[in-house]
Amino acid sequence: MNNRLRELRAARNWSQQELGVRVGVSRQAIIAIETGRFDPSLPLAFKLARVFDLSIEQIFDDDGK
Amino acid sequence: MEPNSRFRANVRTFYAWIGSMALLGIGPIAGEMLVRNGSLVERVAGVAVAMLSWVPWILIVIGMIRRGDEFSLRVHLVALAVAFLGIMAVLATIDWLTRAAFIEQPPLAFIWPVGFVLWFAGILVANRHYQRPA
Repeated sequence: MNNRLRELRAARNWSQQELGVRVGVSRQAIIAIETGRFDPSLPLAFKLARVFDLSIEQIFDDDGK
Repeated sequence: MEPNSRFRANVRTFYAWIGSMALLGIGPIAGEMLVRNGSLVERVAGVAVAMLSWVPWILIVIGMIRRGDEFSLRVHLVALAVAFLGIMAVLATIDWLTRAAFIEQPPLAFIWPVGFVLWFAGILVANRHYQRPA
């Protein structure tokens, strides 16, 4: 699944560690989500959407799959 | 959990893990001594001591895995699957090598180090896989 996490994080000048702390996961989890190899659970996707003040669809894109 | 309390919990877990590892080292030695003494009660006690020395370590590892986030749980799932399949493959290979009289039957204790190595290799491989750009 594609996502805009890296772009959104960079726009706020947050490190991966910082974003991880904000949503309660490790830096490794953020890296794995940013690479697109690991899809977050729905609760984590909601947390990410909340910290960026966006909807889940504005962050994650499943390419219509 | 706040970062500070998480850090303190991690330090406590680390010391508990070290303690459980020490117990894991002492338990089999004490068990072996009791088993070798020969009486039924001592042999039963030896088996019990050696097996029970695993319990704290197992509980601590379960706790460590359960406290991880969803990514860490995924990595452990992959690593444990790798370790399980690897052990099955090693056991099948040794079984057939033994049946064909190429090697002597090795002691079952060899499974533990093989399992640990495969588990850690699985953790490294899974971590690498998920953090590599897609």
